[in-house]
Parts: sequence; C-alpha cells; structure tokens
Amino acid sequence: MFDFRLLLLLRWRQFRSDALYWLRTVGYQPDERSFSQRLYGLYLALIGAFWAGSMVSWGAEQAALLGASLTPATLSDLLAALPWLALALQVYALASALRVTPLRLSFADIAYLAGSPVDRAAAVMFAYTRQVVARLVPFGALGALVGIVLVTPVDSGARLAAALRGALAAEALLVFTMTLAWTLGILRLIFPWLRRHPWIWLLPFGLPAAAYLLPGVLLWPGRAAIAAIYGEASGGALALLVAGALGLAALMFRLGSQVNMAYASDESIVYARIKALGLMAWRDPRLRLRIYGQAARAGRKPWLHLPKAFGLWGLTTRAALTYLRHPMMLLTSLLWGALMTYVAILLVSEQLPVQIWIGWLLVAGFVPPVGLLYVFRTDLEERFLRQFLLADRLRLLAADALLPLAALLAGALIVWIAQGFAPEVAIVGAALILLLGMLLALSGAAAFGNRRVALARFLITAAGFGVVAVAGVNLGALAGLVVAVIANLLLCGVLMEAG
Amino acid sequence: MQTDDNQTTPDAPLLDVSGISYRYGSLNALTNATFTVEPRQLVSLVGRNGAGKSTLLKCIAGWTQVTQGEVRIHGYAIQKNERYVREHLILVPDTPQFYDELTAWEHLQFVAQAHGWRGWETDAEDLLHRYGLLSNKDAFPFTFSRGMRYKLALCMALLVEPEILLLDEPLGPLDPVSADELWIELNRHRSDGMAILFSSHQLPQEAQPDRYLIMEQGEIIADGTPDSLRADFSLDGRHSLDDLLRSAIEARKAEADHV
Repeated sequence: MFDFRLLLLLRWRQFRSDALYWLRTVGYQPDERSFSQRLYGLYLALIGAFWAGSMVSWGAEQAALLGASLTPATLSDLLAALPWLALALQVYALASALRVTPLRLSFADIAYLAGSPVDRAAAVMFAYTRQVVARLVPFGALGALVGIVLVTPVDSGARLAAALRGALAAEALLVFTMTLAWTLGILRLIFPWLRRHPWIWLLPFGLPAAAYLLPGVLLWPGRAAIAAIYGEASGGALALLVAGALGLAALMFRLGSQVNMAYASDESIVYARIKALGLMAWRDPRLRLRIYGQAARAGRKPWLHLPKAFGLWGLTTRAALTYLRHPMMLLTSLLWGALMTYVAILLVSEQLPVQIWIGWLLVAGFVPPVGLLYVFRTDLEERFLRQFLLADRLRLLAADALLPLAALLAGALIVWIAQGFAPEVAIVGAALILLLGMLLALSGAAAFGNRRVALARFLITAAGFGVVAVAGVNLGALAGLVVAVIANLLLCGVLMEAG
Repeated sequence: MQTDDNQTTPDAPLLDVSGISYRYGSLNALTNATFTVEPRQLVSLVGRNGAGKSTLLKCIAGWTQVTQGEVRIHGYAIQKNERYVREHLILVPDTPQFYDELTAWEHLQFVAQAHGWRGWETDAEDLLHRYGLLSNKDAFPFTFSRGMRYKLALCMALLVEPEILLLDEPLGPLDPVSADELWIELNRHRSDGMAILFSSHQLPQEAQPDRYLIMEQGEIIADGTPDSLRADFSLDGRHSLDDLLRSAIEARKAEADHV
C-alpha cells in the first residue's frame, strides 16, 4: 500500500508538471498568485467548459442527424456489424499486449522504479489503472454517440437515456477488454517461455474465425452492449463484464508481484525513447517515425543493396534505396497526391467557398507528405553527413526527392485521369499537377534554410500556389502554367544560391 | 597572402583562423582565436570541459556561424565557399550521425561513390578491419555502441582523405587498441600531407603532436610545440600533458589576477 501511495505521488507530480507546462503555453502563470492570474485562470476554465459543452452538443447533434438518416436496412447492417467491430478492437488490444509489454517504462522508470525494491504488483496495478482511467472518457463519449445513432431511428425521445447507457456499455466493454489484455501481457513478463514465442501476439487474430464458428460466445460482449443501449438487457450482462474484469484484475494483482522488471524494461525501450523526446515527439513526427523505423530494422538483415552508381546517380540510387527500405513513405506520398487532387477537383466542380480552399492550402503548406523531403532533410541537417555530399542543394533535392515526388505525382495523375475529362483539359491539368508537385517539393526545400521551417514552408507554398491560382482563375489555364514555371525557376535559383 | 574571396596565392596557409569569436547568448564561447595550420601538422587542442574546443572546431568547419573573424582554407573564406570547404575539410564530431537506412558498409560505399571513386572497396575493407568493424559491416550504425559509431565516422573521413581533418574528442569513445591504431593512422596520413587538428583530454603514451593549442574559457591561452611550451612553463620532459594544461591555466589565472 505504501508503494502504491509512493507511485501515486510520483505520477501526480509528473501530471501536475505536464499540466502546468500546457497552462503556461496559453499564458497562465501558476506561480503568480495575483488576482489577475486567478481571474485569467477562471476565464480559461470557463472557456474550456464552454468549448467542451459546445463539442458535446455538436457531437450529439451530428450523431442524431446521422441516426435520423439511417434506413431500417442500414440500421440492421450496422447492428450486425457493431459486435464485429467490438471484437476487432478487442483483437487489437490483445495483440498489442501480447506483442509488447503493457507495463511501459520511461528511462527514469527503468532506472529508479525497475531498479528499486518497489512492489511489482503496485507498479503493475498503478500503470493498469492509469491506462484504463485515461481511456474511460473518450470511450464513454464514443459509446454515448453510438447510443444516440442507434436509438434515433427507433425512438428519438430516448436519446439521453441511450447516450448514458451507451457510455456505460462502452466503458464496461473497455474495462473488460483492457483487463484481459493486461492479464495476458503480464503473464509474458512472468513466464519466460511465453516470450520465447515471438509470434504469440498473432493468436488473437484467430478470434474472428472462431467467432464465425461460435458467434454466441465471442460476439457476446458487443451484443450485450447493444442490448444495453436499447434497454433490453437487465444490466446483468454488463455487470457480468465488470465482474469478469474485477476477477481478472484480482488475478493480475496476485500475479503482479512476480513480474520480471528486466523483461518490462527490455520491451519498453522504444516507448522510453519516445517519452524522452517530450513535446518534441508531438512537434516533430519525424522523430517518432525514426525511432519506430530503427526498432523495426534493428533485428533484420537489410534487404536490397546499394547499387554501384556514381555522382548524382549515386545520390539518386541511395535515396531510392532509403525509400524502398521505408515503403510506407512512398505509399503515403502516393495517397497524399491522390487525396489532395480528389479534394481539389471536388472544390472546383462543386464551387465550394473560399474558406475550404484556404483549408486545402493549409494542408498543402503545413502537412505535406512526410516522406517527400525525408532524405533531403537528413542530408541537409546532419552536418557530418553533409560534408561528404559535394552536390549543391538543387541537385541534392533532385536526387533525393525524385522517387517520392514520382509517387505523389502518380497518385495525383491517377485520380485526375480517372475523372475522364476531355483530352485538352486532361493535358493542361496533368501539366499543372506536375508543376505544382515540383513547386511543393521546392517550397519545402527552400524553407529548410530558415529558422522557422514550418512557417517558412507554409508561406512559400501558399505564395507559390496562390500566384498560380490567381493567374489561372483570372487569366486562364495557360497563364497559370506559365506562372507555375516561373515560380519553379525562381525557387530553383534560390536553392542553387544556397549552395 | 590573398586579399580577394575567390583568389588565392601559393603562400596562403592551408588553414588560417584569424580572430574568430562566437557568442552564445550573453556567453562568449570563443574569443579572438587566431592561429594557422600547415600541411603535415598534427595539432592537439587541449583544455578543460567547456573551454570552447568543440565550438572552435565547428566554427572552423563552418557548422557554426562565427560572430566575428574569419576562417580561410587555402585563402578561401569558408562562409562564402561552402562547397570548397566540403572538398577539403572533414570534421568528425564527438557524436556523429548516420543514415538510418544504410548499413555501415553502404555508408562507406555511398561516400566513395558520391566522390566518384572506383576501386575503393579494398581501402574500405582495410579500414573496417583495422578498427574492428569488419564483422559488423552489414549492420545498421544505429545499433552500434558510441565507440563503434565514432570508428565508423573515422573510417568514412579517412576514406575520403581530406586535406584537413578535424577530430572532436577522438580518443574518448575509443578502446585502447583502437586509440593506438588511430594514432598510427593519423601519423601515416600526416606523412602523406594531411593536416590534423584534434581535441582531446588524453593522449596515448607515445603520442607526440607537433603543436598544442591550449584553451581556457573560450580563449587560446598557449600555442606552441611541446618543447617550447614546457620551456615556457618551466617543465621538463617527464611532465605530462596534464601538467602542461594545469601550468597554462595557472599562468593565465596569475596573469588575470595581476591585471
């Protein structure tokens, strides 16, 4: 019990410190105990409450609208699909817990918690409780929305009760699933022979097949939740789920003291590395991507070989090898190009308001595909490696971004050509896609010389795309193409000048 | 000596550091550092932690923009001739970074191919063998220990054979066998004409640099050959590098107190 209190104090201090950081980012100074700061704190609390209330109200309204639009046939399909969805989430939770320890430790935890005589059961139960509690609110909200959607076509007057029952049902399901997953995950940290079977985490993926044969047994939790939403269950089914969770939790508490912290530490390294990044992990997703990539490649033999190629071609093949060993980056570039083109076509054909266009531009400027300049950025920012690359920035960009840019353009052109426009429109559009794709890469590359990369990237992209759009809309498609060529040439000049 | 940024004369020093300073916020990390390095010189940069050794090396390599002063290579100012610097100078920092997607061998291959060299394989294999990395050549560098990463960075730098090699704390992460190997290698490259400037806290027993640059609080407080510095500080041949460093710092302190 003392150890539990100790951990509670430690986590509370960590939570408090994180919370204070976020409060400081919105201008609140908790150390200043002045009247104005207290007033500002109250103002922030009211704003937060108003925002949360608005979101709840908006979400409920959207769910009711969605529910009202459901036909009886769709509702029936949805009711049949939901237990399977619940099972899919359970499979994911079980597989995750069997793949990597659910008890995840930061570097500080590895040093001071795993390395101390603190009762392992306290560490396990505390981490489990924290994880479950953190998920209760979002899952409860989701359950409430599902409740509103399901009950609206049947009895629109019972929405509030259905929302409450939906929230409770989702939470009961969550607690049961997470407790089961944690218990299985903890067993791996106790019995070493379980860890010797690295493919054990794939076992839960057999559950859907088993559910096909025994639907009454495996789809029961999801069906019980739906029955609860309609008020058809007496509450006994949900109580049974919670009782099952409590029984498993008691078992976990009993087994927890036997957990081998060395195993937990060993499997927590990726988590600990990301945790050590702090806010940087959120600000720069590349860093997380890098850690996950390293973890995935660490134990594997590299596939493909760097071909014998020299000069610029050598740079190009090296970049290609990087992307082929990271195929997800090429895929995201392809999908990004396809999606942005599809949305752009929708914007033009539906003549949507300018605010939506601004949103499109914000996505293009601030959230370009992460893989597009991955190699180029590494070449530029890692000064030790940059010394070995004799090419200037423009040639470096040409070599480094060729493959992801080709993937992005391929995605965009596939969507464009699939529209079946007249040949002259299709050709002009394809040329514009090509030039805008290059402009996107050049804008990002030009921004890397600046201190505020994200802002510079957005401004350069917005300016480039903006002048092309203005010229295209006011002077015709050909003028848009000419301006796009000029914008590309200007940015090429900037990169060459940068050396 | 040269006067124009794009012209040089044959008598321009290989590396000419003249009056460079670097401010880090309100802190003077480097103050008025001035010295030259000629081909075939092995110069040791010594000083306590935080003396400014790494900052000086980064300024010379152009990784950090100096607040004042100038660094020239063959008379070319480095800030305006970045590419020229890349062709002639390599800095191996204390924590070198690598590509996550390339193996150790592919790093060497890539570096050689980027320079357009053929027949590099024997040299690369030889380097990896000498530093004990040959059995790990197909592994990714992010799986290496700090010492192994430094050795790989050294192999990349030595494969390129730059005219000026800057090494930041090369002996810190290396095991004694590799440290001796590095010393032999550096002497060999010095004989071939390479200029080497390295920072270090400790040197192997038999190591004899041509010159020491002693730094304290961002300033070069002594510059000379081992013998001339020992004479300056009234030390004899039995005294170690540590004694030399302590004497230089004490002399500096006494001078400051006197002023």
